Amino acid sequence: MLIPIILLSFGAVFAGFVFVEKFVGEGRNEFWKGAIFNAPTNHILEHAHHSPIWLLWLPLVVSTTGLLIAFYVYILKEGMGARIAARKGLLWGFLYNKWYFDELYEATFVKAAKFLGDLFWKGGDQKLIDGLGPDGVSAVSLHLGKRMGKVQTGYVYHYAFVMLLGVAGLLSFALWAWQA
Amino acid sequence: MLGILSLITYVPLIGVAVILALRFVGKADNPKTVDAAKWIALITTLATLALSVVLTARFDQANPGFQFVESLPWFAGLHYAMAVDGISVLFVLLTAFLMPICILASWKSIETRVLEYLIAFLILETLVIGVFCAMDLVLFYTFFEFGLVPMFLIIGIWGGKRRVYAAFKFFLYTLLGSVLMLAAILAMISVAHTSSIPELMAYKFAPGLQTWLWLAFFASFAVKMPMWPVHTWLPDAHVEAPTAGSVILAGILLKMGGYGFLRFSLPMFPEASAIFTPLVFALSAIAIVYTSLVAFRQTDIKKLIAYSSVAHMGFVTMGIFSGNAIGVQGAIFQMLSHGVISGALFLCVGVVYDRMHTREIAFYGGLVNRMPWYAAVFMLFTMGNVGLPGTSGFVGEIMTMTGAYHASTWTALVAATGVIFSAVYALSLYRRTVFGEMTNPALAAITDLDMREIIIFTPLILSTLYLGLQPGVVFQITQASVDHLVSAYHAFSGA
Repeated sequence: MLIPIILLSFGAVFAGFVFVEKFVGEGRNEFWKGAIFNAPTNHILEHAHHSPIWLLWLPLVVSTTGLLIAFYVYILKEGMGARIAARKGLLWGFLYNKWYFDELYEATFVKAAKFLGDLFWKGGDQKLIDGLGPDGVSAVSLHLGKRMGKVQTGYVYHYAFVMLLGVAGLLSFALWAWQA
Repeated sequence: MLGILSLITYVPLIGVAVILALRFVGKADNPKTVDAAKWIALITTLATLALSVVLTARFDQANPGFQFVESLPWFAGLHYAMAVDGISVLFVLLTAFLMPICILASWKSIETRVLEYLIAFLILETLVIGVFCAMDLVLFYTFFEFGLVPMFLIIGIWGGKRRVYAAFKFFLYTLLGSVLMLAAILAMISVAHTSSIPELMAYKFAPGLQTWLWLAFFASFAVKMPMWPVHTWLPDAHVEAPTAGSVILAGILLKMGGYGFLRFSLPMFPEASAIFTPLVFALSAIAIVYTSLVAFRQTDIKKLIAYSSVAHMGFVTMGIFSGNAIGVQGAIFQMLSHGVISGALFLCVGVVYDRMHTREIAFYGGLVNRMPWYAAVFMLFTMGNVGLPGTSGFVGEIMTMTGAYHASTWTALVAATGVIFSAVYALSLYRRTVFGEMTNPALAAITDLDMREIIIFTPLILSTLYLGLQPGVVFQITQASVDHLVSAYHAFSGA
């Protein structure tokens, strides 16, 4: 692992010196060949070029400060890091848990996705769509079938009565049609 | 004159005849008879594939119209008319490509009524190819409806525990849509006095009538696709169907809906299509987000992939109704790509199901320790499903979204979130089944892919990568017909 790390660190430190001319210097138009396109009305690169001087220095200052603090805590005062960790202070917890970003995502995106997924699945698909759709229709037809089935009592006089009703109905219709 | 299209369509029936003869000569449950029948089915489907490759090779890419035209008078003014154009020819090829894979996938997993099973598959192949070639409305309807029967039997006879419920649900949903389509077909023939699809594409239906016809066809195709909210038959059908049944269902039968939109809705009812585009966009966007979230919550591997299919079909409907060439091309590509990838994913489920007889995600975990080859194959198709650049899944998604962006920025925006959701459910499925420690002792003896499975997966892997890296081969074939379709659509719809 050591050799790749050494090679990479060389690149990290010196790559800028090698490519500065091509990436942002005089040779940039030749190098990018229009790959980075800006509309004529878009001046973001121009603005970036004229950003305040403290902004340009900020990354270097912050990272160097971090480097110095780490050097102090872990190397100059060896054991200080472990003592801070043992106290489990608020700031330590905040940094140790990566600003609680995982927990934040878990509580918002993951929980919400699970909740909505269950809602759409059990509420939407199973209750609403299937309940009113195929399952509902089949339940209604089964129910109606049972109700209609009760008409079939098996008693001859029930059937005879219905036949009588039919004959009476047909006769009335025939008389009415005849008259008209 | 009959030609190569009829040949491709009916070659599977020759296999059916031979298997039937075999059944009457030998005993149906004799292992030798069963073996012979499997080989006959495999050879028949491979012959169909060879013929489809010839068809695609001889297809004139510059010609936007219908090719290999066959037409014979049938009855009552109807014609037995077959032809393909750039939109349909690749679906014929896809069908012929997936069928031998299905036969191979069923080689060991189907143990009862094997001969009947093979016959059902061969008949299904004839009917599906017929759907994509039919140039007469009634002939199309015949193939389209008949296709229900073998699929109903495949789910209902060789399916899982709740197979009867799933088969009926599948049948009822689909039939409801098709009855409305039949009514629309009768209306079209009585108004236009022709049932020829090319002639109907040139006929201009009155705008009011178009609305009704569009809705009736939409009912049928939306169920087939399936679009939200008429999609709930699909997860049940997939879960209960045998592996090969799922492959055909997701790989080809769903595409009949998208094909229908392209063949009927856009060219024959352009004004109505333009009016209903916002509806289709809304349903597509809902489908993409809604079913992706539902997929995320599934505990059954097959159900998860089934829901992911609905989401992917949302991209297809969105692309088709974007009404521009890039969207329509993307939709066709997405259908072909999904045919390969979802088929492969169902086969991946089949591999572990054949060994363990469960599809519960929680049962698995740590498969990579025992099945490294399987893990690699499953990984590739998971990435394809997510739409990773380099796989065919990427091309269709990016094109349908680009197409939709021109038509409706909001729809494209919502659909783009679906790409993230697809990564959520697909990667979480992969992590839970393949990675981690193998804690279930039942898995300790699970074996990696065998030779038959490697043979099944190889063509699918190659096509996923080839289509992902060289999508142009598809567009060369579809371009002329799609351009023709889109310009005619714009001329008529006024959009």
